Amino acid sequence: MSITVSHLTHIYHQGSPAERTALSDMNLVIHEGSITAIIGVTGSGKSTLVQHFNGLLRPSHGEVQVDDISVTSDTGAEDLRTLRRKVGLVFQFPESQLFAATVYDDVAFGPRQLGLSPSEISTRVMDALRAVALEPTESLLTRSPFALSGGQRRRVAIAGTLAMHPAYLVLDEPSAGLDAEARDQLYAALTALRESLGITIIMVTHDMVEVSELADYLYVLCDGKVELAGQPAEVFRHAREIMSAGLLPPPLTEVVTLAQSHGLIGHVESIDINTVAEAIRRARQPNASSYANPEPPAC
Amino acid sequence: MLDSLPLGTYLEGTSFVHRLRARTKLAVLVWFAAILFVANHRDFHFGTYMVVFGILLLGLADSGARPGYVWQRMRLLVLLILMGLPFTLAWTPGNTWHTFGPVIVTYDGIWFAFSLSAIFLLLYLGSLTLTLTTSPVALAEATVLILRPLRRLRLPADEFGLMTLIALRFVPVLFRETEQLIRAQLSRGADFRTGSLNHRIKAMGALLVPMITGALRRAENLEAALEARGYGVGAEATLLHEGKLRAADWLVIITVPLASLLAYWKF
Repeated sequence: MSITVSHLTHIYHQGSPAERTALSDMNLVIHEGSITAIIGVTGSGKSTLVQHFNGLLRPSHGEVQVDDISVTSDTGAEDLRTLRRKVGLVFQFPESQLFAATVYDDVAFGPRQLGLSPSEISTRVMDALRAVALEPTESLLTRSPFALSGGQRRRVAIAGTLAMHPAYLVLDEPSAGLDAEARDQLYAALTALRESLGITIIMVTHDMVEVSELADYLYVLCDGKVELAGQPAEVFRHAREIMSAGLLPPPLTEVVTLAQSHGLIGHVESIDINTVAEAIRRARQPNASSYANPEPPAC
Repeated sequence: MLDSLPLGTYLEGTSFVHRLRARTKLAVLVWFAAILFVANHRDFHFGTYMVVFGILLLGLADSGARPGYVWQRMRLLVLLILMGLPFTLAWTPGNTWHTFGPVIVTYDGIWFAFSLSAIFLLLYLGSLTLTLTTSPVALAEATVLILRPLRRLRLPADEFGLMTLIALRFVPVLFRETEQLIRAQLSRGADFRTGSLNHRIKAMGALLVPMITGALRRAENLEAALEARGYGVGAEATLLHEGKLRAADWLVIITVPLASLLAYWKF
């Protein structure tokens, strides 16, 4: 089971003077149980893409297949509703969608709309809050969501989506506007979520550093097309393409690329701090082999 | 989902109505409101309504707005008026015109229903024409100009202008924000279209509360930004758009009231 996108094209305001192609003939696969990151600058089509995953947008051409549900340009509203339960989408700054008087009521909103029994709702709320590393004490549950800190508010909002028990969780810029501590807590919660519930996580971001630590697989989008795809280490080796897509590679990748282009170090197996440190150590020894054969620049 | 909301948006253009000064158009609208309410007291004299309607039609046609677009903005109001009609007709006392079983329809009822609906529709059409053909900045300047004489009574005219401008400027922003919010709540299970009434009202709450808190937060930020820059209207601000009245403005200012007054006296 997975999300398969084939030949997906999305055109906004088709037929009007404001017509704009946001995605063109895009193909990608998101495997179940992975943490996949979709990276790109503003306007690269990443938000448009993920809104297809839960049926907020229909493709203009092509198909999005989520498990056994296929979404094309003429999928009916009933299928889209089922899809919305399967794929939870957390928008940018999700804390702005909080509305209820207490944390409990806010997280319970989705399950209540599903018409579940009170005991089932209560279990789901507790589980969802624990899943985002918030201990559901009485004082937290009865507090107003507006009285929480920014990071806590965001996690309550994510819990509201988790309480729907989605099989896939899509997060649009989940760390935007959070300080370092709140961000680390959020990441820890997300990683734990995948471990404990087996939820597939899809992150939309423009920050390479954060995905380099979290994601198993990356898609780099540029102008509505997939520019690069692969595991982080693989993708980061293409520093030039990353930069031409308007993104900044992680600082370590940049250091390595720069050092290589000056002939200071040679080829490195993978770009993580230990391998790079070893490469530099070897390069500093006068008769190191890697120094003698600097790798030619990629292009 | 939000396409049918009756919100005023500016359509750029260079038509006769576009080129009129904003304060001319604003004054004409105020004049229409006054003359229509006065005409309301002369039962079964339709002349004023016809003339005002004619002028507005000319203006709308000249502005280049598509009829479909105008109708899209109007239909909610038309629906509301149609829903209210039976009640006005049935419950206004006066001289009997006809009896339908227990219901007595009076002449006064018919006139009241007609004139009230006409006033609502015409004034709405008027404000639609105004916002369609006038940039928000010009409209704010016009507000300032019209209110300026009231400054002597310590009315903060320029501040009102700023408020008008901000309000108009934030229409599209809040619009986008609401659209985003609808999507966000849909994604976590809200269902605005199916289910019991109770169910749907609860779903609406999930929309209204964040909308209002969002708007208030924006207002607070804006206030802090104005405050931090020491913004204040200390003196008479110079105006960018609202220059001297031109021949076209004088033409409108003289002919529109004349035509409607003539219609009021003669028909």
